[in-house]
Amino acid sequence: MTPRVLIIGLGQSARGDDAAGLLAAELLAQRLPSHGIPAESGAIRVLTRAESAWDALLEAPGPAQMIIIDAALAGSDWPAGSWRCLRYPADMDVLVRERLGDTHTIDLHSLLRTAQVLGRLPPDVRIYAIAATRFELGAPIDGTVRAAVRSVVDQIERDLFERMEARPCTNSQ
Amino acid sequence: MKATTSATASPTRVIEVKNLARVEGEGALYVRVAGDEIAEVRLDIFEPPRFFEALLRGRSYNEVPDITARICGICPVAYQMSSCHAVEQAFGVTVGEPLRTLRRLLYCGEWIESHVLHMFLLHAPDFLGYESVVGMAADHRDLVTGALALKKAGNRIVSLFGGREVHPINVRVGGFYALPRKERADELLEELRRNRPFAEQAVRFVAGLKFPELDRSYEFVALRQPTEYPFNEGRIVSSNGLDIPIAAFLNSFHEEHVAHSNALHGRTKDGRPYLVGPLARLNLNFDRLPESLRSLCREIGFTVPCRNNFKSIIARGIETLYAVDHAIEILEQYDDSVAPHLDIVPRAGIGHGCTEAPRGILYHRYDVGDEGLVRRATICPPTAQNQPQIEDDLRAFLPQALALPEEEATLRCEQLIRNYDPCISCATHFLRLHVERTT
Repeated sequence: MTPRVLIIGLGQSARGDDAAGLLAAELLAQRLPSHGIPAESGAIRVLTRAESAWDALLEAPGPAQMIIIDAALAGSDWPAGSWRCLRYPADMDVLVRERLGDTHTIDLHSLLRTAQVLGRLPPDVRIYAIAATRFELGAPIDGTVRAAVRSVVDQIERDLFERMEARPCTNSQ
Repeated sequence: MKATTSATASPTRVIEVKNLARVEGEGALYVRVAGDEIAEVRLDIFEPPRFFEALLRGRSYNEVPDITARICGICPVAYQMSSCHAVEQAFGVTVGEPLRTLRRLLYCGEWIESHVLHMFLLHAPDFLGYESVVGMAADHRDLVTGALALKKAGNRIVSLFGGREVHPINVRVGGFYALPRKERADELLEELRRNRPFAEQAVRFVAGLKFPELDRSYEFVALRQPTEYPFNEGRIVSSNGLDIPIAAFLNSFHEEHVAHSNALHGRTKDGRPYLVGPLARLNLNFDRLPESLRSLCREIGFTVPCRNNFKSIIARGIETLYAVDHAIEILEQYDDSVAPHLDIVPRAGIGHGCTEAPRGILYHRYDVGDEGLVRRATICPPTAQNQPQIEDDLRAFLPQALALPEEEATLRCEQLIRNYDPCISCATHFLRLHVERTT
């Protein structure tokens, strides 16, 4: 079954804050059943590897929405523990400037650009970027980043199950 | 990928690649050139050790396939197959037909997904002059779409027979927990048939790439079976005449720790590097390919022995086509009424398993107690075995690479490393190439 929504949490569990996307995906997968959507129903597919997204993107029709959650380097105007919701390709320049994810087998930019080039990009692509600073091997995830993960998951849940059709994504917190 | 280069009049020359996104794992390459001599080459692996062998101690035999599958997100089937065979040998169990063939089917899925990912999304851009698959997709749209569809078919084999696409959960010692219904297998069969023409087209495409010159006297090491192209069983053979049972692996090979790498280095007992993986398999098992594939090889001009590992991309293409054909053949005979597994009675013993992961032989050894708890585990993955050979290849290749402009030299070294499809770990990827010249 082609998923209506494809959710991809990216990251590396051994690299501190880089685990943010993975944690968010796990949390979302756990919450789906409470909305009457068993994790394996296929209506909403939750993945933790960018390259695994291809299977769904190649189906016809593909997903209507793709949600990506990933850690990004915090900046002076963007402290660790805050997050932004970017739209792709509209916010492409922000995506590049914020140096989102490059610690994956197929990096996020390659996934999105390739899908775009191949005409397989869902009409609604949202990237939740969680600002983070601690990426050393073996580091624990920072408490503020962990809180941001919960906040992002809450937001996605609201978007998906309450007013997904009615409003655009909230941009930041 | 960002590359920065500094070249001044000083005797020290630095080439640094800050982000290499097409190698799986974390590593850096250090090269010291003294005059015209390559004085030192080190593939530094700083991926942290994960201590799976220690983690397995005290765990029940029936947890072993699921725990070891977690070692790799790309080749979990290989870990499951090697561990199952080793534990089964310890228990004195042999899994015969039809489960043996269904294990080959599952392995076909892993080869297809892993090989296609590497060929078209990671390695082909090197040969075609693209920074990544993005640029390649723009100019070769049908090729990339075809590759992704073929990879998807491989994924479906793993998800249908393995229970899920990544880290399968349906494999157990003695067979499978359950087998899928015939209707689902028939759908998969149709998907594979649809993708078979592209698999052949892919072989022709990669055979037409332009390959850098490299001619090495590799010692190829692979499994070899009496009649089939190897997946799960056989004897360990080499191009230097080695021919041993799997249980004798540690008599002929060993792993050593080196200061610059968190991964152990595999060598022959007398200290030589050796090559495992698609090129080694194909060189040692060319006569085990069906005649139709040997004929295709002749048509595209691929002959053995082939000692240029840049042509490993062709070997992956041929093995992918083999896996597609073999999977079709198995699914055409599929019967869902068979018992999914043998009954297992644990007993104390030592067992060895070696199977052909996409990147080469993967050896497991388990010492299991009466109650079926693991007392000791040894795992030798293919990338560890290949590491000394990668450094050796770089030593041989650097003289011609360093004659190139800095950026191109760096790219060629990366391409050479990618020949091995190294699976240093399953996630982060940073590789720095540091070349130091002294007079």
